[in-house]
Amino acid sequence: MRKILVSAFVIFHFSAVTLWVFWPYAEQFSKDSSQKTPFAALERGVLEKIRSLDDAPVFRLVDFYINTLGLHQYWDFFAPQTPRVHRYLRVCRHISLDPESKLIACKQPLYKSYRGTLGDAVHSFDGLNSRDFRFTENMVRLHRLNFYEKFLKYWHDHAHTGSETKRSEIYAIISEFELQPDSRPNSAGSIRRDEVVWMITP
Amino acid sequence: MLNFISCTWDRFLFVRIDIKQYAFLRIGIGFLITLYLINLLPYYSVHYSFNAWLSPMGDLDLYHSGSWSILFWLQSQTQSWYFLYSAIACSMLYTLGAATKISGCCTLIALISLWNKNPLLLDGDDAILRVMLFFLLFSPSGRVLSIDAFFRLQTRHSPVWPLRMMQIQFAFVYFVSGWVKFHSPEWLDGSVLQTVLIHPEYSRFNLSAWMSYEWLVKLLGVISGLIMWWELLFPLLCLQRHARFICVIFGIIFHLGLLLMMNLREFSIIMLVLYMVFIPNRYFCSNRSSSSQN
Repeated sequence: MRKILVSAFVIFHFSAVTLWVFWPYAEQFSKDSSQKTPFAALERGVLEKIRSLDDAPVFRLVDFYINTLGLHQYWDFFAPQTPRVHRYLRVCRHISLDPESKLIACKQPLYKSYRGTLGDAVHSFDGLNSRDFRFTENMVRLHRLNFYEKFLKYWHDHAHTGSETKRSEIYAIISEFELQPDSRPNSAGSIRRDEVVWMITP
Repeated sequence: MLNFISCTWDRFLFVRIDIKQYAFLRIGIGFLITLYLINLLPYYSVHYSFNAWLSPMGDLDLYHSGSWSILFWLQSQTQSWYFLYSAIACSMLYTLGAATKISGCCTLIALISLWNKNPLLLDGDDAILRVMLFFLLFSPSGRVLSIDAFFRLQTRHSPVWPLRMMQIQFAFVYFVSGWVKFHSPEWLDGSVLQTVLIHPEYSRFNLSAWMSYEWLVKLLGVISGLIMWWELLFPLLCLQRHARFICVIFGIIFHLGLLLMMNLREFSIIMLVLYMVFIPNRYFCSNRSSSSQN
């Protein structure tokens, strides 16, 4: 009896994980005629089958199982779609805009997700700032304005308690620069751009 | 035929192995989780505590985040710090094998709570630690090389199925990563490593000056192709003993390369520790001649 239960659990678990992991790709890849995988036809069939389960009770069961036991897994972060630009997030009080380059200078930075100096970046083995990089990557990808607002509000309320801070505006700025394989990143030739994505006023 | 399938299945999941392999995995994973939680300390106040930027009840509405977290129920900043310190204590106890099942379950609950509160700065290394801990909790990993072992009768052998689940999960991670890479233009044309190695966050050294060498660009293209195929075929290659050996050696070299060249926190170390699931169980037996096969 124990063996039957264990066997059923193993089969159920990996079926659930497979369904949950591939479900987000079903919409994205099933109609992609340019796909180059060695088994494109088989893949398309499987993904369409998964798509058809969208509202089925089995999918709700899988979702409940994965969510309750915290087994969320999406392994595409081991296959980064390496961007041609590097982005980072800044939270600033008092900014100034250079009219020529359109770049924004941050006079009183409250938060910056990128701390490196680009030309000679050698990272230590702790890799701590990669958490900030991951955070920025997700914030930019999701681009939820309420997230920017909440994040700014946090810095407004907690970073400084002086009355001057409470009265001043705070900005969330996404900065990006082009990565060029044939020259140094952030060199004079690379394209740079700053954008205010949200601001809060007192 | 049915009998053959039944016997193969039985041998695949229920053959008994020396539990030292589980114990070593517990020590490795437990230690890495402790390190991971300590490394999260500088981010805790902003992203996870009661005063964090996301509201205490959690207002993420993401496909990848879960529905519950102990952090949602806490009522003050002090409580949320106690939560993190307790999580670190639990992971240490788990590593040492003290009240292993309870400390392991508490550690898992803490990891899930952190993920569900704010997964925006978490990554693959966080996910793989959590999932592997889940499997390890089904094994008697605290029966040897642990504080628990001083107080209770030791069991030497146990069914292999938790280890099999870890092996399948490991192969699954590689397969999905490889499969996704086959959908990426940068991976398909072999240019991805050029960009990665000059990326100011991913790359440990700035190698932009090296990218002018044509031979290096070509070599990086070949390496990216090898990585894609190795990952995609990992589950298949693991089925055959000799192919598995080559596959694992390639994996170790790959992760050592990542550790040296890329800035991915403890990811490479985690994967290298987890390669322990592919070491034949006979190497963990005190008396190798009486060991069961794995």
